[in-house]
Amino acid sequence: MSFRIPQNLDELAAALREKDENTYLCAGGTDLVIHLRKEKKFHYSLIDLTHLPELSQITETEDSVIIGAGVTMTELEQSPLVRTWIPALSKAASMVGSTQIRNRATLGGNVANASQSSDTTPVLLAYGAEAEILDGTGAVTKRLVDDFVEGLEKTTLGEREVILKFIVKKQHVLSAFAKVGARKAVTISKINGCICTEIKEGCMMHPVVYLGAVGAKAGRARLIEACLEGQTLSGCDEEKIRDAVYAQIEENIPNRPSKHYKKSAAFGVIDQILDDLRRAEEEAGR
Amino acid sequence: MLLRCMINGEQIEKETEPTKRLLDFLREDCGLTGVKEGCSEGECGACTVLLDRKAVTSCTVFAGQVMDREITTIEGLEQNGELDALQKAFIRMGAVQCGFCTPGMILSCKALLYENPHPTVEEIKRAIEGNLCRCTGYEKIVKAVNAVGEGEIK
Repeated sequence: MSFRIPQNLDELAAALREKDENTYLCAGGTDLVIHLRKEKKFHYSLIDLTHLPELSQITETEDSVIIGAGVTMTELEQSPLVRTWIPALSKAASMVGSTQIRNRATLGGNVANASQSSDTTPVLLAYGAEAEILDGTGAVTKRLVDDFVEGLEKTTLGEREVILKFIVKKQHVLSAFAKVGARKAVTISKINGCICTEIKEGCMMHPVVYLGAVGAKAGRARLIEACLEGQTLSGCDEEKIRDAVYAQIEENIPNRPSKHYKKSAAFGVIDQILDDLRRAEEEAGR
Repeated sequence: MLLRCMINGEQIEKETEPTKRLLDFLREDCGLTGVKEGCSEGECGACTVLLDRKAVTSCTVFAGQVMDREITTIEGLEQNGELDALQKAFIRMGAVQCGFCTPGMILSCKALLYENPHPTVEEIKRAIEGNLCRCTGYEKIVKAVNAVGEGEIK
């Protein structure tokens, strides 16, 4: 059993080279510690990811925002860069767990755990985010988040791979996120969603809509996108949107008993997001 | 593993099992039993401590992860025999009943006041949304923190 605390990427790659199936990568630990205890696992090795400065920064280039995989939900919520360029991500992070959880839980962990209720994944998917992934040879590759997250706690990341950072292209869009859980705060999403849309002459153009927790993995809601295309934020046709949302949920989970309440919950989520987008549009116009 | 960290202002080095939870390390190895175990799932906040001045649930942190970090538990708030303003306020406002949630509750509030010395009631409520109290109904707790934020209790 070993506990390694790599301090730089060379040490991390070296730790990955020796990693076996009984070794876990640990960032915030908010899921892993509980999971290992639930599974009654007591003998394992760990690679700590919280002592790597490379993983804990948010930076920008001319065309992208780059977020370290070890950046916490609190940092995402407070970062001016994230609030400016990816407001939906800042909002999603602000709604994860409690203050204590947000102070530890990381973006990399939220994505790599691949829970169907992940709050940040729908946002990263809506923005077409990429991730930089390090393997045990020290090689770094780039992959779309959409290509390696499978949902239901599964990804196609290799045994000896770790996410280093996420790259989100700067886009001139408005975005917002909302969720519904069993209670108002400190809650796991029963359903969540993100809309990311261009606005031209007051109309939504090429809106990208993702819904989470209605299937193994957050999925693109093309029926809702088609309905929103060309609509103004101030004069949305509520009935049409409700029909599109209900049809989308029916398509996603036709055989689940939960589909009945998820239809009205999903409409509530989309309605809330459109409200937030309206506010963002007003602020942008000021 | 020889774990090196700062606990309540004192630099320590202790041989411990790094895959232990921080909660167990503090209680069993350091004798700091002010850290309470509640739900063991990061939900109730009874085990809240400060890690580099931020509130975290010590039941979801591995002991080895606090290498070279700074931890504060409820035992570390008192200075030279005098209680912290928050502790005084909790006593004066009747914000302590059974007391089990109190250490975690006070540390969540302490972290809030480090970042925001004059929080609004809404900000106080958000800071303690991860700390469950089954006795007080929260009203007196919020009033106690508010009294410190407003400078009424020092």
